[in-house]
Amino acid sequence: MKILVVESNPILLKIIEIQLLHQNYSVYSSIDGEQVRQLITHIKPDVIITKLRLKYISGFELIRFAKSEIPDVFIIVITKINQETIIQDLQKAGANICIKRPFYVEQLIHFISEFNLKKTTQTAKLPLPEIIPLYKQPIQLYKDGTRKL
Amino acid sequence: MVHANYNIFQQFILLYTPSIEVLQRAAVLFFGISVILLIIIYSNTYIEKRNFLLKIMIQKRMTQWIAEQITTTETPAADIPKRISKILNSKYGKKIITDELITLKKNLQGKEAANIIYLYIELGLKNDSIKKLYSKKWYIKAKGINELYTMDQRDMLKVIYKNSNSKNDLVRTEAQTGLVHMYGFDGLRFLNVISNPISEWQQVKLLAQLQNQQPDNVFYQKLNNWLQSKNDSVVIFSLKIAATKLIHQVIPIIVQNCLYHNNSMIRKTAIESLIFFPEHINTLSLRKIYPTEIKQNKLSILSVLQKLGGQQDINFLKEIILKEEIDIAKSAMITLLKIAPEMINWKEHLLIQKNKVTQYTLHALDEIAFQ
Repeated sequence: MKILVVESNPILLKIIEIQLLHQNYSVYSSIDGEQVRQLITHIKPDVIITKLRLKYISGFELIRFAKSEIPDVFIIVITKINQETIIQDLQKAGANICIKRPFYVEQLIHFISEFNLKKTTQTAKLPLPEIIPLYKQPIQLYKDGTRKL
Repeated sequence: MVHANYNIFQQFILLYTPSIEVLQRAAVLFFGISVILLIIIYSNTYIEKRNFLLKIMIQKRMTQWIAEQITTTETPAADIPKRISKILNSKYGKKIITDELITLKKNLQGKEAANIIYLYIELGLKNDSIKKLYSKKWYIKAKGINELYTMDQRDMLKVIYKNSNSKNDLVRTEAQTGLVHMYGFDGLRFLNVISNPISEWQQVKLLAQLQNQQPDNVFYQKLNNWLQSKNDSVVIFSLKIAATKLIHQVIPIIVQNCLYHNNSMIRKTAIESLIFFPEHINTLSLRKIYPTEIKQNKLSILSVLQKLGGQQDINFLKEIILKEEIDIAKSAMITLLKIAPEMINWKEHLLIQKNKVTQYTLHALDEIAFQ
């Protein structure tokens, strides 16, 4: 699973990165949202972890852009903001989860693994792939179009 | 007239035309000042740029190591790499590392936060903060307090507590914030001793800090004492705590003391705090104090009655509508209609009374009816 982390504090970014790498996720990062649009378009991440106040792009803008590019992307916003109205706006924009600072890194990992689990179970429920019919009993049609032997 | 003025101007110039020597001296002086200013501006820019680059360099050098130490599952390493020790030898380097650790502590919780505190102590940054705490300069002292409480250094409680009544605003507010940050409601014990006022902004900040906490069962006893404090700002702040945390045990003190306090601001806060206790309040106490109150507080009482009032207040409100000045009458009319919507029929009664109040209250009536 590909995760894109956008943070303005380099050490915090590194900490999140290390912890996610421990969980065997592929992690990509952007400081202050620099070139984040290109990253999203090229990497197509499954999860984006971001904050709201960034230097190169606003958090809202980033969420909207990510959702327009990858509608299924799971977005986690880490913020200090407590105001319900802003959190509702974030959810309207496409954020899936808002985590308030100070936060537990374990909590972050928990949300990602939960999403990962959901995603894998959903994939399993999808219709069987095309190879499966090969194992079915072959239907033989005679020249007259009947199935009768 | 213009001609005369021109002559005076000409004479003035002739009389006061400076000699070439004076002009030369002025030019030299001007040149000198410009050069000094340029040097100051240039050196300031140079220092800022140097510090900025130094900061980036230090951040680059320490980011990986600090992040590894914070994320480690075991105790962070006691051996400090040479490149970090070098940074710690300079004052500026220490400042940057401390600032970074403080920012991280404000962002993280759990195991990572514990590791940050461990690093803060191991790198000798706590001693620096303590030095700052004892500094004579108020801004350094405030910074020291901030660092220590952010890093949960509870052993420094006594010194921080002493500063909670400091003469300096910033030192005082930092110390108070620190106590509440570390001890929650117990940290409010500085309210027993402070003689300096708590600013409105500081009250808001402290209440925000206590937002997700609940006081213990005996907290109301302390609150009762603070509600009778000689420091008016302590009384106002206590009223706000009682209201936001719904501590109904203090209602007798609010009704008996605060509603009759000499300070009108305390009375106003007390009136407004009652709105949070609709089940424990008898509106009689508000009706009693109404006649002696100032206009602002009268309006507050009417606004509180919108939520707490009942049938027993109708005659009292009617009386106000007919007797009081326009603003108050209008507010009373709104209150009356909120308590008893059927009083809209009273409009006809009002029409008979031909006075100014009637006209304005009719406007209020129409507004409410429209709503």
